[in-house]
Amino acid sequence: MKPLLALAMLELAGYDYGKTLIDLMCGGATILIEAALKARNIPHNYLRRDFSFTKINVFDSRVFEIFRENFLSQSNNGVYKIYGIEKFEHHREGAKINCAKAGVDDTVFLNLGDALDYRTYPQESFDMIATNPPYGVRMAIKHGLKNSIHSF
Amino acid sequence: MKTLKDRFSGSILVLITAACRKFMYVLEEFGLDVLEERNVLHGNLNVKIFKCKI
Repeated sequence: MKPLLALAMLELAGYDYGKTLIDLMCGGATILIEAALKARNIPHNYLRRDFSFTKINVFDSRVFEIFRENFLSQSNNGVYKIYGIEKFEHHREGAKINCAKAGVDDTVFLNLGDALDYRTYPQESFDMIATNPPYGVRMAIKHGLKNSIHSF
Repeated sequence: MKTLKDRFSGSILVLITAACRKFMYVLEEFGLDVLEERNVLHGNLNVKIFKCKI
């Protein structure tokens, strides 16, 4: 799942730092990472360096860094109730790595559990549940679309 | 859905799925209302984001 889509889900849900959140099928923890970044007021994509607009002639890296530092200075290191449940251990390990890379592993709590078995849920109550259940199909670009883009 | 209703009554559920009709059917079965929904082209899948009150 694209992080921007996860963020869109959280925006639609009205998530903010004061609310408790759980993802019952967290997978790689994309939704949880975006929630943690939002709660900490860290801009989306803050680790990204390869923005296309940096290649435009009028782009000024010094101004960009000033804005970047300004935004990051408004972030916080709060610990929020952001929980994830994952059925498979290897997926949970991957989620932990993703959280660590995003710098939010201290506020995202990942448990092994089954979304279909409430006994494996954390005991806390939650304001929001955000989840992306498996579709059973992979999101691949069809050859037809690839060909049409190539032709264009 | 029954588990969610029992365990998280009053919470907001936001869910993205390609199985829109099936999900709507389940919501109706358990008497849950959709507060908002958004169509999204996710890769080459037409999916919806649903926001519901449990």
